[in-house]
Amino acid sequence: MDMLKKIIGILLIITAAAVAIHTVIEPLYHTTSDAQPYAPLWDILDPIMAIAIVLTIVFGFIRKRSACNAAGTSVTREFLSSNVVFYGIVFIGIMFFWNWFNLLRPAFNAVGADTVSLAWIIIDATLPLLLGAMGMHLFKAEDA
Amino acid sequence: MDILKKIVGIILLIVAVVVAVHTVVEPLYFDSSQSSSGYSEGVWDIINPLSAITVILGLIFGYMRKRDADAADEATVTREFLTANTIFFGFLFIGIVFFWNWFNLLSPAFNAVGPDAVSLAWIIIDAGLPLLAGSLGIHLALGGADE
Repeated sequence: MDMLKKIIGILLIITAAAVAIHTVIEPLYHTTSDAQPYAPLWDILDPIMAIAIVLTIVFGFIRKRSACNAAGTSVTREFLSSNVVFYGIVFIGIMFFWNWFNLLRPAFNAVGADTVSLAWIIIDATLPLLLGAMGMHLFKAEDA
Repeated sequence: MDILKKIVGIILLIVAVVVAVHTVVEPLYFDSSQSSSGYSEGVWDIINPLSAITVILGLIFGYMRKRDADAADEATVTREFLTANTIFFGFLFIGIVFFWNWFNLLSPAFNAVGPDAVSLAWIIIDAGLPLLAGSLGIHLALGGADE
């Protein structure tokens, strides 16, 4: 189980770095067109982000349950960190899947372009923090 | 190292005040018809590189502070633990949004993001950065005496 946690931890850290770096450098290399407003690399990154979110929800819940079951009533570091990461990934997960499915289904066009862009930057700036923190925790599996 | 921290702390404090004050007073003195973006481009062209340096310094010194707080041998949530983590992850969030929005501004070929989204991203940055830079700046300038 420890080895599995380490492997998933590394995958989450790589995904976090890829999302953060690509978000920042995309405006520097991509030329917007009507057919392709954003860089095509997102077509690859989005499914990877979806998998990373599901993994983080699963392992985040296991971590949160363990922290909440620990004896005592004080707020420990592990209690605070596990709750912030779990509820943070649930919030960003809802926002991500809403925005991604909206992108994949042109027939649903109730959401304006500015709202979609703003939702993306909130997702792309927050997801690396959550995946990075969870990834580091899993990578140090003996501490988990 | 203490002198370096104090100097960086003062730089962060100055940039925090400059960004906060200019964000608030810009609507009072600038006529948007004078620029294509509607913003006071001449002033922001100076402030944005300073903000970029501040974000990078904040990430470096914020990480050092977080590392020290995390390494402390105790399980309870101390003030220093909470503050150090909030500032580091806050800088990371604001840093990604800032560089994305700034590079978007500097690259006319990338225009996927509408003006309303850009404006909202700017105000989130300009309201968040002074809090983070000011808080870390005071901590560094006082040599950690605010803990």
